[in-house]
Amino acid sequence: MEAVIWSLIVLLGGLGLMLPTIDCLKESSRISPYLTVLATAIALGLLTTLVGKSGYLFNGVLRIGPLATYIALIATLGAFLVSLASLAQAKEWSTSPSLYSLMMLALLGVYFVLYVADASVLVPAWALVSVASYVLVGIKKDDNSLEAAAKYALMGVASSSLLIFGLALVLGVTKTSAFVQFTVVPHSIKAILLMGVMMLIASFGFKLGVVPFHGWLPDVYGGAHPLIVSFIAGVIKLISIGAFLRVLQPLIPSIQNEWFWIMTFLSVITMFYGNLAALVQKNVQRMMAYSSIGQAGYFLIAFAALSFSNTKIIALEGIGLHVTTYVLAKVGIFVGLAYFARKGFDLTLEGLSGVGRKLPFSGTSISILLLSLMGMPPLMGFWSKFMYIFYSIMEVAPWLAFLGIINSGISVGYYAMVIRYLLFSDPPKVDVKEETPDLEIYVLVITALLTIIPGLGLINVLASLLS
Amino acid sequence: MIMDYAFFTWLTPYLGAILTLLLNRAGKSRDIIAVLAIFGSAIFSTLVLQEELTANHAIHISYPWISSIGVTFGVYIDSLSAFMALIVAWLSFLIAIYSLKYMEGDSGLTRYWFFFDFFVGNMLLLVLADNLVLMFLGWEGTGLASYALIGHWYTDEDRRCMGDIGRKALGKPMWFSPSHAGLRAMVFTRLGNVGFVAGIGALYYLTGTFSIPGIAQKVVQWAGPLAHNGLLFPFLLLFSLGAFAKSAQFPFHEWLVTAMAGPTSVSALIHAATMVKAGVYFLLRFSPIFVLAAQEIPAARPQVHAFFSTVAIIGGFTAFFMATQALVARELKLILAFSTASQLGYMFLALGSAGLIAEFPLGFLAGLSHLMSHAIFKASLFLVAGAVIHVVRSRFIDDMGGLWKIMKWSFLAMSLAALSLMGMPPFMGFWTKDTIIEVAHESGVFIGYFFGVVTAMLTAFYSTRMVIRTFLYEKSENVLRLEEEHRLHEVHLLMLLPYLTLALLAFIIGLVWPIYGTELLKAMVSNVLGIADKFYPSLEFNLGMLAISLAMMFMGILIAIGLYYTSGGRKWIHTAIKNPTGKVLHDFLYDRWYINSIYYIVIVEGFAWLSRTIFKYFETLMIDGFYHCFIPWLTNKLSILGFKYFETDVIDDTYNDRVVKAFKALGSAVRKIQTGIINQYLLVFFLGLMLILLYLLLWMG
Repeated sequence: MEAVIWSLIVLLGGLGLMLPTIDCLKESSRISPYLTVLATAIALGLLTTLVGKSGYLFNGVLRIGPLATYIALIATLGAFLVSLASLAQAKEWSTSPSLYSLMMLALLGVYFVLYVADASVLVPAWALVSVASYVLVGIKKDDNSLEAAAKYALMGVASSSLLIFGLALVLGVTKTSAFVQFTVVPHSIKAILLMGVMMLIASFGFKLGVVPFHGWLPDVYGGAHPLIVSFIAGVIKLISIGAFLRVLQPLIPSIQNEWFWIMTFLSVITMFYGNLAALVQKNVQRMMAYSSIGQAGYFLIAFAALSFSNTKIIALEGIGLHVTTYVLAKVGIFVGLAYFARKGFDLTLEGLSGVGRKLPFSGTSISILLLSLMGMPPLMGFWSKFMYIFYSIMEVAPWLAFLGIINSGISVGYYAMVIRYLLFSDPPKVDVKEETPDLEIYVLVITALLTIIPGLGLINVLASLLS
Repeated sequence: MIMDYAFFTWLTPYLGAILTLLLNRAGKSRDIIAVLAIFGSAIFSTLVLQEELTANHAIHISYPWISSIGVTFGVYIDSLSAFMALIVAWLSFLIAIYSLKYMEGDSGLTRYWFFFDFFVGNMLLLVLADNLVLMFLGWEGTGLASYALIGHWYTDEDRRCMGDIGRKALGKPMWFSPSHAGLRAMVFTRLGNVGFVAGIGALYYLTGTFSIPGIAQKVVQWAGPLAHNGLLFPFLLLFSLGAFAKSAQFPFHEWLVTAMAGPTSVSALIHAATMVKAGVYFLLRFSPIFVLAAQEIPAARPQVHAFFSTVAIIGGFTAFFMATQALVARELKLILAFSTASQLGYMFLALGSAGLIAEFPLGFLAGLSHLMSHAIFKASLFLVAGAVIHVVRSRFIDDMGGLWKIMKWSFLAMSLAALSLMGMPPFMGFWTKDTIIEVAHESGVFIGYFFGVVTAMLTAFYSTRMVIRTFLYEKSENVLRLEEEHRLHEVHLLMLLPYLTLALLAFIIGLVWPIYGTELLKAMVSNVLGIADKFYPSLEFNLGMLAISLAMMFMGILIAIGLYYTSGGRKWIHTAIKNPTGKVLHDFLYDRWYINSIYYIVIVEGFAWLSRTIFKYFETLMIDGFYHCFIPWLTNKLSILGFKYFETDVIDDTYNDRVVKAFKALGSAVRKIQTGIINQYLLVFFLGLMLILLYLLLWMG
């Protein structure tokens, strides 16, 4: 297993560091985009060798586990799809070699956070991903992107400082830098542990888009270039889920009750805020930003269900499956929006009306992804959200599942609205059509198919990969 | 293993749906494949029914699927699901044949056939599923297909719309484009589904199973705790919410009305014969289990009773309420839509009453048999309506009239089906509807019975009016013009045959009902999940009540003939609508009791207001106020304070002037960039964190 990790480090890290130089030397044509596509595809292959394995690596600072490997696979798939789409989108940007370099380095950082088992790895890995993501947001170098990047970075600094502070408090209580199961805590220092945990929640929740730590998200998701957003939403965001699972999960038994209520509280405000705010958006990209906040709320429900031993397994499966739903949908939708933008459409509801008629494959695929986020059976999103996440909490707090179901009901309002504009309106009178070299279409069709197929009876196969 | 072909009943249409996509460019052969897939499904459903009848017990086939959450993959075939599947599959087949001609030349045929087959597959899945998850899969699938098919003519041309263009009630538009109508269907039915999902969740929570027979078996396990906590009644309502929404019962009825913007074949399939019956089927499936709960648990009895009374009252009210709107409707399909919701109300009335009477199977059969007969005659009526609208190129009955000579067969079909709808003996509708009224009477819910009887008259009235206005009324200008241009004709055989068959079927089944009716009813109730006792149906009628309902019906027919078939009546109608009282009443009914407008004002605008307000306060006001008012104010105060102590011009200048100005300038500069201000976000970030920390520490302390 160590060999696999080393190969990934060499592959992604090495290429990531060298790409700008390669393209600088070889000015006539750019090869970094193709190298990235290739590298991510190889990484995907390498990771599959880890499926089903578990164990400690590098003196116990990394821990391979099925769920982490699964999420890493999904992250790599996301990165692969984004880089594929980028061939048609970002290849010609002046900054594109650095873009690809950062994507690979960030992806490597994501693996480390997902496999993390020790604080000494968490901090550098987290920093690597964070810094890469701030630069990525601004890499288009137009006003919107720069503004979004500045905001993201400023907020990110705040959240990272909390990470350090929180980590210090937590490690002070657990007396070890390794993230191991921690069950008993003397009452006198429980408050310190709680403070530490709370700061870590704030720090991780920041990346996930948990209210009230979400402020940056609508601006970044809504303002940056949609292609970059697809990477931020589909790949980078997974570090917070990984950190929740690896760093905070072992601490839950010692603060079971408080954990449950914090997660519940945060999930309720996050779901309602995200879904209600999405209802009034006119810009689809911004609407999807708020929908991400709503989706973060569903993840928090599963985190709440981690508090109890009888619901934990289903909750973990739910997290893994919903990551699949979420990544496929967000990567697909933002790539689709990038495609529409490239074809000259305005990303408002009005601007997109009837576009699905002109561009049938992408329009239909995006609609399928939206339906999946909505929770329409038999798509992936129905299973992961309704059948795993909501059901995981059913036994301990049915009312929370009920609030989740209500939120799913609210979200129909805006998801259906987008579909209505895309597919059920007069096509615009401009001369555009889907052409074979438009790689975004392939990305969209792949994500849509991957959203449909597991729902048709293969969900148990996916779930079996998770444990 | 022998019965595994039962799965093909619902798998075949899915296969057909996929094939239509693959044969995207194949034209005619794609359409034929799509129809053949449904035909296959119809054959399988017949075999399944035959098997079920010969086996004479319920057949349950189930394979493990997702073991961690206990979802299985299976079918449950008892007489209820077998009969239902038979009806659904064969009706879908006939309507598919009709569609071959009706939709000919449409530009979106692949889409049409894909969703058509997809719909049929989902509907059969819903009917045959042995567990709630599969049932819900089908349930949502039908909704999705209906959404897509209502919006089939997405171009939103005026002639595709529904309602009078430009008409407003209480300031809200009363006409709907197909895409808007599709959205409404989606939102309305999904509202109800929230309850359905929550109900499934609660059942799983209490019993640990999704299996429908399992839920019947463990009835004490789930109904017990709910009943003892007084939660059974709310639970049953919540669980059935999806059924109310799907079957367009008040207050969810609005979506069905506007769904008429879809192609007529779709209205016939989804909004008359099958999908809207899913709610009734849901009640047929589960009400025996609810009754079982009442038998097993004494504490549950009053709550189950309350539930069934509610169903009966809502059903009765919907029957009456929708029938009143049909009285004045001007669109042919709209009359039928109102009528469908009204007839569904009858079925709900039957099932609600069934739970209240001693002989539950009697009410159960009343509901089920009326479901069957209504599916047959209403599908026929819709298909005729589609043909007529197609011929006269208008959806308004004002543009019809005098067509009987030209469209003799269609006239025959519509008359037969309409007579069945009115409940004229010996048509099929007569037998099934009068049982409902009788059951309603027996239940002791007087208001339900009352609505049932009054609606019988209203139904007779609007049905007669519809037939007269379409076929027998004096020819409208539109018809005269088309006649001059020789563009009026009887429709193609492929369209004619399906509805003529259905109309004749309603007549013939009615004719032989006294001979075979009891046998049929006995077969339908012989093995139903949750009904353990053998039940021997009979055809005895309470003569007094029969007389009342027949009198009501004839009264309705006579009034309609008097008003619309005599010149005096027509004149009276013209003046009646013009006088103030008449106009108020007419507008009240015509604008659907203003309920649509009220929904828009209260719910749609209310919700928009709510989310806007939350958005505004959360995102701007709270923090904006803090940052732009409080902090400059604070600096100002501090500088004044500093001035007092230090009294130097430099400090005065710096604090009092520059800092305040700088803060203000910074504020407006950042503001200019965008509404999102980074400091606000950080502020919220830390405020949120601090609040939670504070709360934790206080709580811990």
